[in-house]
Amino acid sequence: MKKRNLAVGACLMAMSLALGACGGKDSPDPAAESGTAAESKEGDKTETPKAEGTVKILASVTGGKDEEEMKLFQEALSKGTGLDIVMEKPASDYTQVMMQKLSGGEKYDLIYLNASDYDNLIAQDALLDITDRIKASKILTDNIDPKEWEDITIDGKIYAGFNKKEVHRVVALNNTMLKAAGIDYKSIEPTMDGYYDVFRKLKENSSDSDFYPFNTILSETWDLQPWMAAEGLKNGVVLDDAGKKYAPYAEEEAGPVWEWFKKLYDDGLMDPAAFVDKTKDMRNKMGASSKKNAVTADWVAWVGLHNANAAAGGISTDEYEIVSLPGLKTPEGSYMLAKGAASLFGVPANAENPDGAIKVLEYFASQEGGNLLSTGIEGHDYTGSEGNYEYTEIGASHAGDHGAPFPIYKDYQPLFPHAAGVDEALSYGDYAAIDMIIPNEGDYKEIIGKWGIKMIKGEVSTEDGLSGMRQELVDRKVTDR
Amino acid sequence: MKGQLKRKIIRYKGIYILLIPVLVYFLVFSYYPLVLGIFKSFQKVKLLGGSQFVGFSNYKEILLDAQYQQAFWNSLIVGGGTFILQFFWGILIAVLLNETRNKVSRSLFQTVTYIPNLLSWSVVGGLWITILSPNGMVNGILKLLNNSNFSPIVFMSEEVYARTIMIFTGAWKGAGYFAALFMAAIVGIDTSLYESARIDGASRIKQIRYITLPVITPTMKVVTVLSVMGILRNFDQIFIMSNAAISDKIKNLLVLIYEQGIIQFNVGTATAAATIVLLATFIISTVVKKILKYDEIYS
Repeated sequence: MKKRNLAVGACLMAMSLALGACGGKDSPDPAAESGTAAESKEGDKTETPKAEGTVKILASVTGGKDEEEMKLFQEALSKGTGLDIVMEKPASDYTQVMMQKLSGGEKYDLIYLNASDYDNLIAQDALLDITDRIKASKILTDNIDPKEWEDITIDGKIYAGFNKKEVHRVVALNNTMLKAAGIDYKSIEPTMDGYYDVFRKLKENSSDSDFYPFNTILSETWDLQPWMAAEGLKNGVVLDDAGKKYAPYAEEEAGPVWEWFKKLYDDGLMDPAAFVDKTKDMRNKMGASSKKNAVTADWVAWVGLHNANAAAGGISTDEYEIVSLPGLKTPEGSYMLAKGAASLFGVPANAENPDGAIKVLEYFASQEGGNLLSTGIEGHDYTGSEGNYEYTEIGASHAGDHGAPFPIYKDYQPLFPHAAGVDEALSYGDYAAIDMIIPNEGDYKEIIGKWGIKMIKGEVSTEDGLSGMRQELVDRKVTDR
Repeated sequence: MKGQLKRKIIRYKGIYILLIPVLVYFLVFSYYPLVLGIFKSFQKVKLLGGSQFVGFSNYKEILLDAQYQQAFWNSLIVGGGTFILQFFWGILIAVLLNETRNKVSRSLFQTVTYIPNLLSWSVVGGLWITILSPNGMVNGILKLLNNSNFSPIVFMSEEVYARTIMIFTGAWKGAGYFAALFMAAIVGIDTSLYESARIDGASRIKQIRYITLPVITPTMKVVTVLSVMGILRNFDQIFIMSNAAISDKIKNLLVLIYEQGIIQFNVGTATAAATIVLLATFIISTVVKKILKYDEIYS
């Protein structure tokens, strides 16, 4: 009896599997259904079709800060585009929610993507090739720097438009502490020795035993670019002449910089919490209320935020001021900074209104769209008229960020001046470059961080550490050599 | 045999009808996703349709992948270690609570030991990361005990401490819960047994050894079987407390499945790995049940 039941069960299971497999093969491919390839070939120089109807958006960072403001944001976006906009913004776990909704068959016209999601979804044929639609749009071609499009072009095709302009990270310095140590930040020698000397003086000048002049986030390989520039090494993964992927930070040339980090750690100049801290911890320690660190690498916007937060707390610039520098000089006499990975809106392959989606992307690339994405909703976040705008209390608390603190429109004019320190940090933008988009960015960061920490702590020699780093990058298919 | 079954169904049809919603609930929300997941493990899954049947290639990929092999051992060591420590810690708390005669002290001790179980891993993980940080409590104590030149130990970046920390914090969080389960069994013990033992001159240790522990043995078996079902399913703790420096020693199967399935959209391989976790859990719990003669509890 038992045997017969088992046999029947096994047969049913096998049949179900076979049926499931057949079903899988016969499932229609939305990418094919939507005529992506045909559109790519025929789309040259054609006008963008007139967009109308509803555009359904799945957003992450873009929109209002709460449910009520989301409604206002939706209304403002509908008014600005002339479309009926429906926005969803999951409260947390965005990537997980997006995956579940897409695989569950839910249809959207625009979905928010970070660079890694972008690469992975292209590999899944889940995004529509919108290259020709972009070429046909005067707004998208004229209002956005062509370099930005180059950064998100994969095998000659573009599958998304921009949520915001990605700015870069700079070396942020506590100028008050530097002044107290007798250092003029403008005259810091941009070499490893020059910065070592600065860190040493800052440490000597502090009576706080928990104060460490330098901090970085090694557990997440958070911005080592301004320091690796000393050897001219690019962050992330790059291609060699033979088209093979490799990680410059794992090359022999990176040895002197890793040894410099080790020296900073051994001499008590680098915060030992760099091995475990997250960026949030680093920012707290750099903030006016803590001042446990004096030099970090952080986003341009954070230079301004530190100063703005201090000003909001009634702290004068004599007591606390963050300034910025572009880091160490390359062997060629320039600088290297890392630009943020793209923040995008892709059109899913099964989108029902791709024309409407393009119109929304066009709006995001305009002055009005930039106002909405940065400053916020007129009458809610700010009031007034041209040249005489004022933040409302709510608007001031949102700090000019509704998804895009720096809009993608290349000639965008902010309604309000930037916070103290931001313009100086922005001025280093010419040294910044985007990282190559790779699907397993998490693996890259984990491997570089892990071996970096081992080298800095002295658990392995620099030579062995770099060798181990390279080997593991290859084993986990992050690099080719 | 068949006729007897049929007669029983007809006789108790009212009860069976009442069970239908429960059955439907489990079919829709438990077994359907489970079967769907098993189907997907044999496919190269695309988010927007067009999935292909690939046979056992997802399973082959996982079984040959060194990262998955390491994650399996990490899951077993950390999960198993946590269970063992939590089990004995729970018994110790329960026995001590039973021996505490002052009601206020007993209630306070029980509350204090149970509270960590009510907190999420975001809170507990953050708490222990702070306690073990270079400026945290543990380094503060070590600094007091050593001279002023003491260099703080970054515990959360030391591979040698990684598994111990996970096992200890996991057990710390759950010991109060186990203690509550054991206490529920202990309070059911007839107090006359203890009185007789005392009259016969049995010490407290002997009362624990010969009365308390034997009586709660069935509860221990239930707790053991239920817990071993969960040793491969620890996600939150490792997700919150892991970092690049120690991930080799603690990254477990569920975290890896999350990274592969959710972050990199490799749904096929992730579901194959999840199916392996399911099978491994089934095997482990079956073996443990056999060893403990679990079914005898109810016979």
